Amino acid sequence: MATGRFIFKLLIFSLPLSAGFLWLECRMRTAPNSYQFKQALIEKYGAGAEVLIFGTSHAYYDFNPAKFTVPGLNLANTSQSLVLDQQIYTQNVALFAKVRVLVLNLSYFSFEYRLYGNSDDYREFSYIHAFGIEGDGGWRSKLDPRRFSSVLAFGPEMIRKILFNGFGSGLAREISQQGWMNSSIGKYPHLPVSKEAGRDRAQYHSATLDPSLAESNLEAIAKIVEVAEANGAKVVLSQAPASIYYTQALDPEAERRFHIYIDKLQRTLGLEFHDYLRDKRFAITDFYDNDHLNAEAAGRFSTIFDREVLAPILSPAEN
Amino acid sequence: MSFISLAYLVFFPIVCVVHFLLPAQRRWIWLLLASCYFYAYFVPRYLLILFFIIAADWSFARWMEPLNGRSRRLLLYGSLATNLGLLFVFKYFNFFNAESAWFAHQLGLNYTPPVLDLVLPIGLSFHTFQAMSYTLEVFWGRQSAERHLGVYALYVLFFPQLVAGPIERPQNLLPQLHTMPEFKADAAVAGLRLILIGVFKKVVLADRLAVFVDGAFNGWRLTTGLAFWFAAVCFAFQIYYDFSAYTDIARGSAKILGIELMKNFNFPYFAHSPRKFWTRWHISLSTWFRDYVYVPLGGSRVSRAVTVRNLFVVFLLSGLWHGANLSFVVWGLLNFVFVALPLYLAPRVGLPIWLRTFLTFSAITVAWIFFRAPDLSAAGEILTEMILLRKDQLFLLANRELQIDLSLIVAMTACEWIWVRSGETVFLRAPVEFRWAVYYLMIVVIFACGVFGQKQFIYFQF
Repeated sequence: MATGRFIFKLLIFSLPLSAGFLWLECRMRTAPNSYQFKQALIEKYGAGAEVLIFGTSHAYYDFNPAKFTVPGLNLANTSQSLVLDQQIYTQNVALFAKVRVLVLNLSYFSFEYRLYGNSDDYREFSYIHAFGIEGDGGWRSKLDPRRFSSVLAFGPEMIRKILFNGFGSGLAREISQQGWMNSSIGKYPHLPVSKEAGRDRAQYHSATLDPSLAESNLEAIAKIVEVAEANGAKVVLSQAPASIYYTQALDPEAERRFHIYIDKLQRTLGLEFHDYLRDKRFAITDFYDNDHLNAEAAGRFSTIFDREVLAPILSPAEN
Repeated sequence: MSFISLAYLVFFPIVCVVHFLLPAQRRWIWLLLASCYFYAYFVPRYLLILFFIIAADWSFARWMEPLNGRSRRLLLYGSLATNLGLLFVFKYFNFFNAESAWFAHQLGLNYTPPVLDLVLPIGLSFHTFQAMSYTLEVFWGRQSAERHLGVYALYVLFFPQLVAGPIERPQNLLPQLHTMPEFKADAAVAGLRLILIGVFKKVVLADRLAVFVDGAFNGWRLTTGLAFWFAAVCFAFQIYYDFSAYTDIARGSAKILGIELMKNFNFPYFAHSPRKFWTRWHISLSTWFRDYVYVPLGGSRVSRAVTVRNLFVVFLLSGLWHGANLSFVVWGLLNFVFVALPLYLAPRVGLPIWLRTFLTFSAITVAWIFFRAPDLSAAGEILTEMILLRKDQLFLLANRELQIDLSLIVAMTACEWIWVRSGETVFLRAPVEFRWAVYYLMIVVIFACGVFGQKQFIYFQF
């Protein structure tokens, strides 16, 4: 067979596959996801929000701004790194005219973590597509083909799930209009809260730790503080509750480093840190899984947070 | 870089296009760079080990070629010691130390061995064996020493077969790397077909089976009786599909680049004796042991007792080649028993072929348990469970995914049976519409049923 004929036949053979790929690409780009949903929330409610919550799934599940006494928006999401927090905030800061408090909820791994390069880094490209931000992967992420295609970013298994779901989404039910993930009506089954599952979860998070990332994450926080202060907002650090099965399996050395970073932030930027990680007010039965509160407990935690952290900042005279 | 990755999907077409755009005499440079990048994608620093092996063997072979007698032999030993030494340090040091400590403890001695905290470089056993094959061939005068260091480096590093073979011979690969054939459309079509079959075997068959197999063997304390029989059969197919998938993609990729790699599998589960099985399974390793161990020891042209000894040595080494673990040694020795036993107990009554095939498959499957079990004691307990034939976990088979897996195995085996009976040409002679329909169907099934996790090829660990 001649080379020209081979290329022609290859092109003909590829036509249906390319057509299928393009169709999937269009559908995936427009399929609703939590990132687009949050960007829409920013555009719709950002101007009225007085409190913003950033962080990983721990903040996404645990902070219900509907329980705050002032309007708030939860802009946290699963595996959202501090660099992504910073990019989302600075990209949209002009829309947050009334924001007075910005809560950066830190997970055990936050300082030494970035999304790109981890097992669920397909999310990185959803951030890039939905928010129009750079992402936290640096030049590697810029050269990654997944940056240019949602089909490649999500991969066959994820696409299969979305395809069989008719490209639909239960987002409107699962995510509240304040951006909070309501685990009580999620489509996912209740995950086991047990010693083994808690240990596995802690080990999974420990495996993502890379101390060399601390510097860039601390810089991201410094940038958030700089922009927030320039816009009249105060930044507060927090750590949400987790079950004892999770906390007792955390790497003590990594926790020691975590507190060194906190000390540094308190010293250099004067930030408050509110640690609820091992708060005794939350029992095993309050957890949806080992490191996320269930919907009812999240509401309770948000009320406590509002009273103990937000109120003294927002209405100092009354306190 | 794994073959089943987006990175390879981008890497390989770029390599092909640039390869054929370059003049033939410059292509080795490009392929060498591409191969280094391919390997460095796993752990970059281990490239240094490969460079060391390449430089050492290339030099030993060059020095050895004009010499005779003792000096020539000493240089061969130098080359073998370099390769086997590296293999020993990375793969066997801790194993032998631990076994020595156990032995010392039995003798009442207090010996605490040092432990080397080294990660085995991916595919080390493959490329050291390929490198040794070169120096042995030069030593025996069957291959002239390669003058071109770059081409020799490519012989060891050639990316399609770098990580998990086939373990090539210099007589096959080196001349091709010198000539660097031009693009041939027919070879490219055959190569693409092999890649498609390989991807299908890996993601639709091997990795789907892995879900059930891993569940049964990793949680072996919770698995019982008959469920283990199914898990063992599934593992027999999983490892075949997994390894032959790697070979298919390797051969397909090389074919597109104009390089013909040796066949590594020839429908091994249709073999009607364990001996035949070993001429059809991992052919490049079996023939390596045949040519460089079995034949030099006298092969089968000696007394029956010496033949059995030779087989014992080969299968012991084969077990050790797979891993520094007693289970692999037992796996090798079990296969030795299966191969050697007919030398003494040849059946007087001819059994029907289907029965011999079935018995061979069963024996090989039982041996695979030692290969897959976490350790030797686990393998023993699993075998006990299998003998007890407890039926309390048969409900596991009601799993829809497992039923799909078993149907896919039956369908694939039927296809292979037709292939064996009628040859590859029966498919190639079919109308183009039929062939394209099969290709599209495979692509759809890959997308609809494939498992695309981070699961590496099983043989990467060797």
